[in-house]
Amino acid sequence: MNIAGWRLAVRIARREASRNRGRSVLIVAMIALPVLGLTAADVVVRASMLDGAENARRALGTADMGVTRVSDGPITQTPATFLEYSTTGTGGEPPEPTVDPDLLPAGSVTSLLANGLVSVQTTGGIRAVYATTMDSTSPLTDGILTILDGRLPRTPDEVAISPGLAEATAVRIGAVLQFAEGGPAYTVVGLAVDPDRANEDELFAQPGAVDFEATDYVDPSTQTLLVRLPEGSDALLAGEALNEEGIAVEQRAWLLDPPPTYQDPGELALFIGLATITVGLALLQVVLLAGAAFAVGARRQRRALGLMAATGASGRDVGRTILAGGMVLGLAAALIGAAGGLLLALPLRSVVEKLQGTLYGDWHLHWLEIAAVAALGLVTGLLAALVPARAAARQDPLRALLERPDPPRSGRQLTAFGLALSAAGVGVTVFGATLEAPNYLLILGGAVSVELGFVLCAPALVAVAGRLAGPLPVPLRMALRDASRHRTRSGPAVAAVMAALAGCVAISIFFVSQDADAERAYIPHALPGQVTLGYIGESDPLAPMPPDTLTAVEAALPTRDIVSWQPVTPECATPDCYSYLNFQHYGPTEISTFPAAAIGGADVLRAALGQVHAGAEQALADGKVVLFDPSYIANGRASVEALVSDQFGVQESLGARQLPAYAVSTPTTRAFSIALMSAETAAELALVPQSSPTYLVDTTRMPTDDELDRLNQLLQNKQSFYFQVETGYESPAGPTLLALLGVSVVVVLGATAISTGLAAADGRSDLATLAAVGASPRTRRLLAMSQAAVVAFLGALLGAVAGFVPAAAIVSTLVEWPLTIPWSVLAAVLIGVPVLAALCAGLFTRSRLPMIRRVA
Amino acid sequence: MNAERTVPVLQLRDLSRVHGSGETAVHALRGLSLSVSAGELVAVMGPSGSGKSTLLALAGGLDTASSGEVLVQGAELGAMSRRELAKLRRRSVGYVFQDFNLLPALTAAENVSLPRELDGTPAKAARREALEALADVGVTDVAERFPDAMSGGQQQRVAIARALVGPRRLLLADEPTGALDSDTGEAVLRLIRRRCDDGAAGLLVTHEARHAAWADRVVFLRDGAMIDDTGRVSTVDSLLTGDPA
Repeated sequence: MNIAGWRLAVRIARREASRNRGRSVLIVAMIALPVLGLTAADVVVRASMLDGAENARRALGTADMGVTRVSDGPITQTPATFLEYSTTGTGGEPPEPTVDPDLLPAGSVTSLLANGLVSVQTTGGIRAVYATTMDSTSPLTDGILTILDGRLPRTPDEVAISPGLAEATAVRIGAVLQFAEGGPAYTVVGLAVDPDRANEDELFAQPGAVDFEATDYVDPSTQTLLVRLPEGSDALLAGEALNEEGIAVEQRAWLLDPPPTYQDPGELALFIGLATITVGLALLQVVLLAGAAFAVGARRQRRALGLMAATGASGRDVGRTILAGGMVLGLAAALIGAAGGLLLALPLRSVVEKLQGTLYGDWHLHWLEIAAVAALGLVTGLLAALVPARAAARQDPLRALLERPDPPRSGRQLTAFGLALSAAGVGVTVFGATLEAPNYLLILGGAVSVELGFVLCAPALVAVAGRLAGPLPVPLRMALRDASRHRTRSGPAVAAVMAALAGCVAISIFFVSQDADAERAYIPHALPGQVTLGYIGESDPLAPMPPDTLTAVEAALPTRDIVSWQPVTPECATPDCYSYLNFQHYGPTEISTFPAAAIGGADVLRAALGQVHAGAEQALADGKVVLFDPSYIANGRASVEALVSDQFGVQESLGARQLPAYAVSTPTTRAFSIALMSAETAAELALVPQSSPTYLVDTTRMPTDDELDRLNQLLQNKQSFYFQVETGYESPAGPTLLALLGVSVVVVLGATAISTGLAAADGRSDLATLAAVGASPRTRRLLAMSQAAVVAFLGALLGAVAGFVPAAAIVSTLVEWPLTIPWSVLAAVLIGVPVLAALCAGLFTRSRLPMIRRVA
Repeated sequence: MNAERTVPVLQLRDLSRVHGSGETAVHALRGLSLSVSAGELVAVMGPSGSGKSTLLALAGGLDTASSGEVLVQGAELGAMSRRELAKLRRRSVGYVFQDFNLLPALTAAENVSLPRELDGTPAKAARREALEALADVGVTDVAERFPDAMSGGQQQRVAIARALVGPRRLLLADEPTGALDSDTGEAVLRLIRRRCDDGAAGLLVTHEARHAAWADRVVFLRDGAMIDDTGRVSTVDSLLTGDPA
């Protein structure tokens, strides 16, 4: 390696970078951006991966183990199964949730950790919130909660609350928190969170300070005894003894050194492959854009490089100067990106923690990973400068001195190689998609190959376009011919546009096709605007909804009518069994609904169908079963089997029957069940109510957001209510596609701006000639607009094709054909983007035509 | 005139250069022969398009002859690779152009040391040589300045220092005073003359007869062919008027 040559090259590159600050800043920003993002992501992801000590601190504080009674007989636990256990006794529920301290080794220190629900008075009414009681004065509980402000409660009349609950109750530190319905009041002494549930509305108190609300079941994890064993005790032996008593043990040793988790090597390879391809494509984009910017720099340095050659610099020396520019700017970008990434990690972590509702652990900076990411920046800079450096190395010194452009090279070999690469990519993609188990790595690998091939073919496309310019107006003709003659600059710009839009087109096709598939499969649960309302009776599970609630609901919504139906099932002999009806389906696709049958009248039919259906109403009155899918009926009869299943899933048939039936077709298929019948028919079939009735609010129009907010407020503090509004199919793809298109447009504008600027610099003499022959000042603007449009359109054309290949392949493996083409996105890409690029170029181009001086 | 001064540093033998081919062929030079010895300064004159700059480019190995030979210090350029030509320019040939002579990213001293550094001379040694060369042309005080902080005359002096730094003995100057005022131009020519008197061989392309007067010989080109090689400066004016008698 020629160290002296590199030193000289770096010195020149450094000074050139400093002399051309705008361009340098642009290149550094382009390269630094992915480095910054990747560094921040690496640091945040590493912080999210808790180590053993952090996991142990959150679960057990400083205790050696946490013990919870889970069974009335012996259980088996191993480090591999961790907290999961298998019962060897009867497997029944524990007689009581608490652990008798006498079962622990003598001298053990304990502290009780309990969870449950309490009702708190909030600004929006009464709300059930999760509460944790533990002795915060015990050293055993250190580290379980994260204190955000103030302190944890020390006395029974104090509580700490989560920020979410503080907001819901509008209670701050020092104020009093009132429990619901005249319940006790507590002084709030701090803001704290369970770091694994940071977004929850929670309350923390001393043991016994609050009474948990009674629930229908006992959650075995609600009472855990934190235990510190006496000196010299064997925690594992103690744990085995406790297992014998039906007590599950969370061992600190297991948390500190958990057994390795199984990672499917195929999945890991796929993940690494996909991540590599994604990062690789992003870097390719940067390389192309920064490459165009380096080409600008090399073009501006052309005479200086010619002077270097005249002074004795070899082609390699000249190329090395440009490459050193890539190294200098790449290194700067790497350092700035890495440093910025470390700084960005701070706010990013807060945002992600807030979104996930989890507080991450300590910072775990993996310097090797950060260095590797930074090295990517350096490599990106070098790769971006590689092509301009090669071009500079090969430039004719005399032509460079005279600032004459080098004659265009044919590049046939490169084009042929590009075409071969693209063809191979299409082959690999199709092969990967048609395998029995589609190989996404092959699909995306092939897509990358197609894209790289197109990058190599871009100059040839520009050359072809140049030949077709004849009949076009002067500015467009000049722009096409200029792009064709200067393919070394227009080629990379077209490729950069192509790379940006290929991703946009591919993802659009994928989203839109998936969206269309989801829309085809969407089954509305009611007619648009209708609201279904469920209720689970608290004391009586079959009780109807309280009339005052129904009245309030009716008032809250644009109600036309409220109807209800009663879900029914066969009667079960024992309390532990499950029973259901199975209707024989004769069609291709069955959509199961549970429960399958319901009791309802003509009003239900009218609301569900949105119209009066005399035939169905008559059938219902005649004791027939009305089915909402004709495929359940053969020869006017529906075949139904009553089944029961015990707690282990063993099914038993209670007998099948052929029922006189009537079918109606409805766009909503069925809002509530497969079949509707009268109470008499249900009684005849020995069907019994399965739950409280379900209600359908038939509305006069789609409820407004305000009305739904009112309904939400009305029901939000009543856990036994739920509701669902039928809004029709809502596409989730719209905002995503818009954001995607926005990002792509920014990249495209960058690429076209670079290309147009370079063309303007190259074409000063052409502009002067234009001025001399009487072209109007706006010709310059039109020429710049045409240059931008040419680059954007050719890039968009290639991008549309390059994006179609992987999208078609992936979509074919996931959703039903035919492929849904996102015409609006394609129109935006092929027409909108070039027009926008042209307008931007026109906006930033001066109209005045230059008078060029003669250069010796 | 000592023995060294009789050795031809540059020899052009029956040199032709044709741009393009067929009907579009342009004959930039036609069978030109010329020899420049050490210590000799030869002026090349002629109207625009006569082939002066082409002659200079061929002499320095920046362009390749269509036929004929170019020998620099006895080495034939036509047989050289691009890398060997670059080495020749580092070690044997120095260029001075009309303007934009210096690399804007390098200081005056760095510009002068550039060919030496490119040739692998350690940076300190190259700098020492550069400072000596700058002292020779009387601009040591601008050694650390960048080109855009220097006057045109200073830039041209630095360019001459660079053209002759190290072992190089062939100075090719293309209108070196074209961008300078007359006083500064005279000073630059005096400097070139002095360097030739010190043993360098010089080839000076110029439009102006008074500049050509600094040369030992004047050759006159028209349409790519040498129409006079009188060696007598006094005939220049008559040549320019188109009356070489």
